[in-house]
Amino acid sequence: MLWMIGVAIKPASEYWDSPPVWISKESTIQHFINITRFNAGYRALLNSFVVAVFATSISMIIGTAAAYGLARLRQRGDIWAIFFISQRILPPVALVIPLFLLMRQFGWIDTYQGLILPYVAMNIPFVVWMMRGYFLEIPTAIEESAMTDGCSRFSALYFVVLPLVRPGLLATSVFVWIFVWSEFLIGLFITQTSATTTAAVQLPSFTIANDVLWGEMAAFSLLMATPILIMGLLIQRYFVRGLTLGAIKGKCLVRSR
Amino acid sequence: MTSTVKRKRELGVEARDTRDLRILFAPALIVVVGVGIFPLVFALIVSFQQWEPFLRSHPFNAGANFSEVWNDDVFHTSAINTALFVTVVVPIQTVLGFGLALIVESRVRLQRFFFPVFLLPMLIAPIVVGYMWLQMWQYPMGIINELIAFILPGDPRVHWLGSSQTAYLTLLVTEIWQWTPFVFVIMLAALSAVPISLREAAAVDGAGWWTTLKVVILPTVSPVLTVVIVLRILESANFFATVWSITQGGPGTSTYSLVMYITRIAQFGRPGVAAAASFIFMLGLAIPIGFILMWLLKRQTAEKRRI
Repeated sequence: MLWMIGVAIKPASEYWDSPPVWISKESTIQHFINITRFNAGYRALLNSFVVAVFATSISMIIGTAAAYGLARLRQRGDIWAIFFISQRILPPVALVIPLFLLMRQFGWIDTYQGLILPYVAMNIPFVVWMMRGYFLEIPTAIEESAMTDGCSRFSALYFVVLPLVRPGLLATSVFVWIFVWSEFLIGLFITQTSATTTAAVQLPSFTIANDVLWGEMAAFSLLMATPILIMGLLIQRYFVRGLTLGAIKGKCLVRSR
Repeated sequence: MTSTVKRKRELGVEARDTRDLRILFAPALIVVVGVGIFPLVFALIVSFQQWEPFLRSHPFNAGANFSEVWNDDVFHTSAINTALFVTVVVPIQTVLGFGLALIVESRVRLQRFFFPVFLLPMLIAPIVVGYMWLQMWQYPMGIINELIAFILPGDPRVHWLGSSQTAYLTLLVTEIWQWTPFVFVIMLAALSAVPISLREAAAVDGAGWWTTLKVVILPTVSPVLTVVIVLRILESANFFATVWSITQGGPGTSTYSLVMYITRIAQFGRPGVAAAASFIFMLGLAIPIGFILMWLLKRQTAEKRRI
């Protein structure tokens, strides 16, 4: 219901007509052009993209490696897993303040690495949580046979196991990407100028004094949201699989009871 | 003899293997501890210091920051707002999401239509959602007021953002809109894992719809449901982008969330107080969650024992 209304409203080129106009006959792309006049304009989208690419790839690499290590490490591994997962309970606010202060010392405010590092740290627990579930489902026999054939742990992981969990990798990456792209609080603190503003942080600046430039904001929101929507719709199938984190057993397992 | 030789060789391999695995997860540990734990410790120290924009050194001021926060009216408003938010939003989302999942699960065609539609709200960045709704809640010509005027007679348009209660309401609605799909999606999957045999057995025994729900479905999906509820509690307690975009904490300071409150203080250049507030926030959050988790775990083990 309201879902669709919200989306339809966005490319508004007309403002406040009552009764409301849905799709105007005089649709213009003026708003899209106006965005470039703004402080960061399209640069913000670029920044978001860069940050997201790096943050996602790095946290995926580190996180997946960790998840694998934990999944295979037997008893000790479980304890560490709980440790990682408990990190998610941490409210980001508590982190933002000290991070901001520390980064000021390093001169990392308003830099890409200043953004990427916290995002990576925040997402690793999530990646570990998700990927661990996937790894646990793969019988160890597979790696063991690879290792008796002469592979080391690392190459076994890379060549044998990873291809098996590829859907999991894909789904997790998309999740992380979405998270980083939409992130607001940390970006708000760490970015100061248009050099590194992310799209999410840029959005509020479309309000000037007490007025909101709805047209520009809507256009910008569209640009911001569309890539994510496309990505999300593409991996619909994996959403459930990923989100349930293996808490749901397959029907086969249940039937064998 | 051969057996002892074999065992010795296995031990060597095993030790090396463990080392390899440890190497794999070392970077993650370093990052998380370095960027996650260490700043927290630092924040703890800061919360006991006095940081003002004009001060050059930061003397310790014992618990002054904490008492300042505790005595601040705005803090209390934010705390109440946040607590109320969580207690209202989470049950509604759970019931709605789960209910929808129950309704939709047997109707596959409905599923295929609803799934992408329901996915959308989750995917859009919260701050985008916030501004979207801001536009809709406008008075007098926002979409919502237009709809109400269309349906109801007279002049029923409400100035949603003008008074504290209705403004708070807008925050609630926006959050529910965005995250109910989360519950829905997960519970839909969870429901599909409920063994058909159990359900059929219940039907044969003449169990009505409600009884089947209680006895068969709920116990099966409760672990997933637990995870979902805890996640939602955590996320909704941290609600920030919604407040920032729709009300900016207004009118006045009546719709502040705790995160907003902390952010504001930090922006004024007083990280000491902000850190203190954030620790109070964390404690306030962790304790109820701890209780909930314990309660749920106890119920689960009790259920298992019964079966």
